Amino acid sequence: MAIKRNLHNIDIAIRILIGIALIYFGFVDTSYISNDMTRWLLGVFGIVNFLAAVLRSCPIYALAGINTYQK
Amino acid sequence: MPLRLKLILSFITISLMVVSIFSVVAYISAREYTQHIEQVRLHKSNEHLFEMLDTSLPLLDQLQDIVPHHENRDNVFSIIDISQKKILPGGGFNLGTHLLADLLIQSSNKIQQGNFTIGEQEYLWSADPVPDSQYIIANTYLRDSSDISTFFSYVGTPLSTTLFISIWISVWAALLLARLFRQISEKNTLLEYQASHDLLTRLPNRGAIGRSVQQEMETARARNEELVFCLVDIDALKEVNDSLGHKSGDILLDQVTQRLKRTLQDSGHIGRFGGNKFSVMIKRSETDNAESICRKLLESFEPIYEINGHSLYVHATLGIAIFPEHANSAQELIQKTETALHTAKKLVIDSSVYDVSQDNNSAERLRLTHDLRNAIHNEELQLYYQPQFDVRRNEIGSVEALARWIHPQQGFIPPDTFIEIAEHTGLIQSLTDWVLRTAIKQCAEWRDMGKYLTVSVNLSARNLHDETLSSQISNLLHYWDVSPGKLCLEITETAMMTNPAHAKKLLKELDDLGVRLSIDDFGTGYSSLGYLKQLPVDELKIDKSFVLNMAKDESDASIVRATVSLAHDLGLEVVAEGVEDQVSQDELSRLGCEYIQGYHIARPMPHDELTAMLISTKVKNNTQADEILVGVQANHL
Repeated sequence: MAIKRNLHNIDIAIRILIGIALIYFGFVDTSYISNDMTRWLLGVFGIVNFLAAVLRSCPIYALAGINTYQK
Repeated sequence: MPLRLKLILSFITISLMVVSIFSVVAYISAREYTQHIEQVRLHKSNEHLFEMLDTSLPLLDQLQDIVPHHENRDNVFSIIDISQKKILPGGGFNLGTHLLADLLIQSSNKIQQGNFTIGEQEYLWSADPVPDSQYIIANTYLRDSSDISTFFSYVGTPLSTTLFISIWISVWAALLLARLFRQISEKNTLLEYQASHDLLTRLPNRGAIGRSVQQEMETARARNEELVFCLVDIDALKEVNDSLGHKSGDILLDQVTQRLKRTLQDSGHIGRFGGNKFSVMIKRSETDNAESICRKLLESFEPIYEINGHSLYVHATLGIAIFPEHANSAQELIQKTETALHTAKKLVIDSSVYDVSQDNNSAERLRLTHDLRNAIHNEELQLYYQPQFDVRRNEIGSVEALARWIHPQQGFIPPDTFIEIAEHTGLIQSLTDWVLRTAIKQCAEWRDMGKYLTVSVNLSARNLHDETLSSQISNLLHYWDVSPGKLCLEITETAMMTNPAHAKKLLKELDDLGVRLSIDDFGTGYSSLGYLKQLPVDELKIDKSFVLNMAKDESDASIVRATVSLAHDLGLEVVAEGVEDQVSQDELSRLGCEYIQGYHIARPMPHDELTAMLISTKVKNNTQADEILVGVQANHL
């Protein structure tokens, strides 16, 4: 099944920003968050967001029937 | 507020609450845990102190010597003498020391730990007895008052990260749930709509119409208004469906819906009553009385319909009933409207407003049905016989048996009325049974008197579906020992044509019995001569409508002449009924008509009257027909 785009460009941009920030705090600069588990969680969330942005499709949006790409 | 936003906000609130509760619990637990850790440390430093003691030297001196060296901010040691109940010099002091000493001195338990608060400051302490002595070393520690901020400096980041993630997940959950709710509610709305609407025309269906009639009725009752309920029957729908296909039928229904909507605009409620029927409910006002509504609706149907390139003229029939004039409940109003529609269709008119006299289901008719049932069961009906004059033999050759009902309260009920009721209520079979029984029995009685009369009995279209009819007739004939040729069964051509295959089979059976068969009311139905010629009938009865006027109306006379000639050519005998004058009788005799029946010969009469007449004319058996007729009429005048 082809992935259907459901993210608007602004949505994608926000997700990329959030994704990069979370990955940075999660895996790159570890000085901000001392707890490994927390960092790891944040990092995973960052990756999920970043992936959604790259694929231009959010699975949760798809399940929830939300589409910011085509109104 | 939209459901999605509501859910998101409530989920975020729940996350915040959960994280807050979790923080408080975590803070309390952390404090208890750190207190435990700190007290263990206090005990340990007490024990460490004890290890430094040399048992060979005086104890108190050693304690007073060592204690000050061990003291720092975290450990304030006090030397307490339990036996003397006092704090000994040499120990350190802080605000908690005295309080603690008093506590320990009063207490019998020597090993203790705990905490207490003086003002803003919280002290942790632990007291251990010096081995083999009356002394206790109490170690007091002033707890850091900035604990909570320290706590949050440690757990703040993980907590806020958790909060962030849990809010994130909450939003996901809220979005999914909102979608789920929306789907469920959409499905419910759709189901509700489907349950109450016709999906083709998108109009309310019969159930919804009933409910809205009920509602409107209540409003109208409260406001003292009148409601006009109307059923519109689209006559052509079946033909359109059959000839142009159901798609075209659907288009027609859609166009009818549009026209009805345009005609009524917002002044009425339109519904699809089912099949080819629409319903219209409208408030009656001075401008909108039942007649004008009818006219408007009928006019709206007049323009040609264009369906898939075909131009169609569609005719509608209207039935109307009015609240509160005709009905008091929705069900009754709808029922009365259906009756009105039925009447309009029966009379082949455009529209009909409910009229109680035409209501087949009125209370009056129901009572009559009930009475008829009883009358048949109790044999309260009477059988009259109308003589048929045999032209060739110049005598009464046969009689037609006719049922008569004298109602105890209402008097004479016309045969058309009660036979129609019998046909519609299934009583016709028992009625025919009774007529056959009585007629055959009577036939046998006359035979015993030496009068060999043929008795004609009318069969209804419904009787033709009775599989047992021929065996029943056979039994009766056998029982009364009546020759089958003395029974004639009259069946109208319309009845024969309602189910030709069935009729043919039954007539064949009856013919095999040897019973005479006659086509009644010939000329009024739509029978096919090609079909009739295949039937094993023996005679043909020309309908009285032609015979009645044949003396005055040349075209009626022509029809009679042609029918007689046709019947003879087909090898059938002819009975002319409705002969009311001598001219007609002479003419029919001249044409070669075999039997003549009518008021000119004799009216229908009860069997005893007929028997008396037969006896009185016995002597005239060999005289001319005219003389017999005089006798017959004399009997009747």
